[in-house]
Amino acid sequence: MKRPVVFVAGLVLVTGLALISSEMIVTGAPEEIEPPTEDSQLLDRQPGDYPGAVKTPHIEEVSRFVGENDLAVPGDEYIRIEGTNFFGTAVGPFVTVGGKQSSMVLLLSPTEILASIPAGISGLVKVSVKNPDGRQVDMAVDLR
Amino acid sequence: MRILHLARIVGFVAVVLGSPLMGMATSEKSTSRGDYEFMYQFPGPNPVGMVEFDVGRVDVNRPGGSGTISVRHYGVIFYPAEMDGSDVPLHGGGPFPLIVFGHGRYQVQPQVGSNHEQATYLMRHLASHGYIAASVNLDVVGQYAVPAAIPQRGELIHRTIDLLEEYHNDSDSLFASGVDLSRIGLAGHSRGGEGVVAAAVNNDAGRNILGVFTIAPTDFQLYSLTDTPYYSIYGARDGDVNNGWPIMLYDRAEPLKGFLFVYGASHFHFTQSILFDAADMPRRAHHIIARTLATAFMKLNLDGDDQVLQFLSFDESIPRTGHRVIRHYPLFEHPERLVVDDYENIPRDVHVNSLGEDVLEVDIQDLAEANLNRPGNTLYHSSFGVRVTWDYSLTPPNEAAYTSRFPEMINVDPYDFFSLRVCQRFNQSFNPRNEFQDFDVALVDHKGESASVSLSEFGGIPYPYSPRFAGVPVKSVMRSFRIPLSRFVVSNPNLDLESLAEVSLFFVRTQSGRIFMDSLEFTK
Repeated sequence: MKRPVVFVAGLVLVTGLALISSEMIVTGAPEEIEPPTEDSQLLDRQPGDYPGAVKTPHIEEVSRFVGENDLAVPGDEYIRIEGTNFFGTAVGPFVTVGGKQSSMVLLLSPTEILASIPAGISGLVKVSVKNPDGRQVDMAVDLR
Repeated sequence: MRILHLARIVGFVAVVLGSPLMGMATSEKSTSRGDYEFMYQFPGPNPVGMVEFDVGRVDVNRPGGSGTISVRHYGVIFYPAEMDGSDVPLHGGGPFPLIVFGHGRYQVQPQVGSNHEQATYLMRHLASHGYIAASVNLDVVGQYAVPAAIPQRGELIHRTIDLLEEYHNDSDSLFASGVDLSRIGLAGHSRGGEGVVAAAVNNDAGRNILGVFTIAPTDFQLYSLTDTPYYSIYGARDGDVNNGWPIMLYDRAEPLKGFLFVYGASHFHFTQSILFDAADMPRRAHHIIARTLATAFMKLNLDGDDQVLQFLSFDESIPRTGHRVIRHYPLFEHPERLVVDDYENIPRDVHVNSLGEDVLEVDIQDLAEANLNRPGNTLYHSSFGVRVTWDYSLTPPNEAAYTSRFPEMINVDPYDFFSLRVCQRFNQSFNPRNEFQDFDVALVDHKGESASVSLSEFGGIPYPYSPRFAGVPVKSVMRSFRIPLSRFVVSNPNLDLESLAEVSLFFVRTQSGRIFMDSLEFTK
């Protein structure tokens, strides 16, 4: 009795796989509909994606920024990220603080970034800087 | 099936042999195309002068906040001159139209501060063809990674136009009475490309911006360019603006507009100062494409040379780069058109076209209106279209056909072309990898006279470029086909263009296929 059951199960499995692999949409069923997403607005990358020169960023110190910068929005809170090899092209560098993207990132030089602190972020958090080539560096920072 | 297979092979061979970039012999078929190539690919007749400008600090709106920030306003101007050199007199044949260029963002030492020299090859070329070409430094707002400071780039473009107006009105200036401010064109690359779009969109002061030309522009601001002719180039191997932004910006622009998707072209090879980046074609070929098409576009819009329209609107617009494997595919839309179906009607109904008439199908496996903005499915268009699938291994041996009907007595005689745009769906068993797709387009009049033309006559539907790099996603980008109505009449002289009843598409050239299609229209 086991053989017919196994045979039928196998037939179902093989038929299913065949339908999937050969994309036999004989019924005219639509393809999966993927709505427009915010993804198309991001040019995030992974290491190895970038066709050009790569630079591995390094963070030496992150501190709350006190003082003024002509380019920053007055009244907002910022961190100052000191390090090396920060750069930008059509996008980047990307900065996240506590897992949230900074709404203002100023690349002042290859060794200095000002980044706004996203609302609701405080305490011990991870600060990440990702270059356009996808190379990223993280540092734990106490924002209390 | 053998006939179909043979037709596919013949079609493919015809496409390969007919591809304008496949060799000089095919290029030389068209005199006008060759004329324009030579006219605009190579330097124009004028010697080129160069002068730098630095007018100190100016205010622009603060990115991401209120108030203003102060930035330095400086750059370089190339111009038709009496002789080659710096600060040499302006050529006496003026006044000359003005083109302002916005460069891309490249916040990397030592280029920061001198990125306005990224496209000096293009500036010099435009000047030699009779344009005053000013490149303004935008590094002054390049420190902004987020927000992208795109409107501020537009403001600096405006400042540069206004500066040239001051020079024009200053009798002591090198440019005294030499700038034709009634004819202004803009050009830009990457963030600078979107910056010049910003300058056109936010042109509250009514500057006479007659055309916008971009290379691989970003699309942070989601601008919709209206009232200004637009042309854009985008490399299929662009690893920096790698998310299809230029396609979306093009789709939202109103016609007159054109677009060239260049298989194998990169992002930074369109510059001359950013020396890395990988591409399937040499940097020199990028420059030839950019300078030929930029010059042709400016000749059309700043000099009113309507002959260039033909050059820019066809597959034949492809410049001769001398690199035999380069393939480029155009999109083009003219403002004077009768839209048969743009698939944007709400409620969506694939069986009703934009004219409110029936759409019929025979033996089509899958017909549905589809969102063409689905990056996960390699689609990057800001548009809806229709998905069509045919497969003769699954259906009876009949003719898979799609018919869009017209109202009574539609007269298309005022138009010159039947146009549509099409792309293959990537990585589907229906579309053999790296082979062209093809189908027939037939016009039928009220007396039943019909005439058909195959798309392979006009280059075929290419397989999407498939880079082998994780950072360059595959993009299934449509290409326009503009079939001269005269071509249908040649096929059947009895076809009455003043009384058309329907257009039919017959999917009989290949065994199977899955395509996306959009913008069926009669057009100039």
